Amino acid sequence: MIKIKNISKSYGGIQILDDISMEIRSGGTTAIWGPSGCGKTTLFNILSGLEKNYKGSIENLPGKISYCFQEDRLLMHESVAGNIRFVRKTHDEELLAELLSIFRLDELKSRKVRHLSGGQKQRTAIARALYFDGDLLLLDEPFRSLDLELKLKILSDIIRFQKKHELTIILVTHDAQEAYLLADTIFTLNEKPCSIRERHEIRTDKSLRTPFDIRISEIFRDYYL
Amino acid sequence: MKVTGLLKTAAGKISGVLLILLVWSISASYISDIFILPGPQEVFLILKKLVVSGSAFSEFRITFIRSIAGLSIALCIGTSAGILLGLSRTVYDVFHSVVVFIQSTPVIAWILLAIIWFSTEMVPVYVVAIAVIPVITLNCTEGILRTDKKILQMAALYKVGKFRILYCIYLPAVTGYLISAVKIALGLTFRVAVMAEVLVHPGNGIGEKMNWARINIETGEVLAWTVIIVAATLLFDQITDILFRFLFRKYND
Repeated sequence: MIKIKNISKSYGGIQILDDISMEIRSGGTTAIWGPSGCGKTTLFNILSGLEKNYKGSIENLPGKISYCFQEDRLLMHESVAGNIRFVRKTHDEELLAELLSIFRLDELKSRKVRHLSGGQKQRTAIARALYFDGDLLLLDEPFRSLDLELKLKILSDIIRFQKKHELTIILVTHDAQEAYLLADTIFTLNEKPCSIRERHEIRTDKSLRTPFDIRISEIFRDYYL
Repeated sequence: MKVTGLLKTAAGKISGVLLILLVWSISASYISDIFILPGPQEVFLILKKLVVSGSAFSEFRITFIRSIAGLSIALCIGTSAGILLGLSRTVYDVFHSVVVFIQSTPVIAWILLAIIWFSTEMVPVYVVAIAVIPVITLNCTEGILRTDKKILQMAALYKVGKFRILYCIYLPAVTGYLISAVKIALGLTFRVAVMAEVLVHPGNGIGEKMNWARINIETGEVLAWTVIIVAATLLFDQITDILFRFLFRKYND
């Protein structure tokens, strides 16, 4: 269990995160849902160690963390496979083949990233994060460039991948459907400053969830009305 | 469309050369004194004589070797210094002003100092190196400093090794700057090498020949050697372009 305790962060006197505390179950998926610009990425930067200046503490954080950034952050001159391989010293061709297949990138594996569409780049970035073989995967708005059909396919593939590799996932999103379909626990956030508003446990089996379930409106009604 | 574009570019360049020849020809006829300004025809005949006698090639070979030696030294030092300046804030703070100082010092001052410090043969090599090092260094530094910080952050998060970061992230970022720097440096190289040869009298090389032609008031020969230098600079500019496109094709296609 990863324990985030009383995290607060200010930039130039403006409070961004205000006393954030949450427990993240190992091997599960936690979604952090909040409006754009509320400070979700700042929280991820703290968790990943990119942001070191903050108040509060984090316990039991795994040593190997994968981070799928909001921007793709790919090497434009490298191929799809080259970008995925970039994050590991020792290569696992079996895992690479599995990821290329999951993200429908098999036929594009030798193509340079600069020639890909936005959605293809985003899929490459997710595949790269999974290839790193971290114990914790941070996904920051990872499906924003994907259409609903592809998003649903990839979500189900990520769920299968997670079970197989016993991965802990934290997803940051402003998309209620994504949060509902992928997560076991959803934390909703207040904005300015960002603080935890509610915690929801989703007990419905993931294979039975659909993007139009009534449960989504029950959880997020207060935010959209 | 592409062929039409190329033809237009070629036509533009040829028109430029013809314009220079026309102005030159008119000026020479107006002055009508072969010692002050011979016309293009006279210069072409001298050029032909230099080529046929082999003198053009032998003297050019000597100047070329000196220039390339200076340029190679500058590339090694300039690239290494540029990378260090770009990667370390402390090195940048200490040495950036030193590089700017070297760049701001007139080439003639370096030539005069080199005459005191080095053997005659080495002066052109040294002067080319000192004139070119700041260009390479500052361009390299700029490339390193403009490398995408978010990509570097990604590499740091995944604990990618330093050599791979240098090869896969910094090198592609620096390539464009390095190509521009080498093209500027190449133009500078031949001019500076010839200038140094004119002043130090190393006994051979295009500068030495130009100096003798000046002493003997053979203006046509001075101009013929000038044409050789300009043609060589243009030729090597194109060769460099093709070479770099081939070497760094990975980053461009």
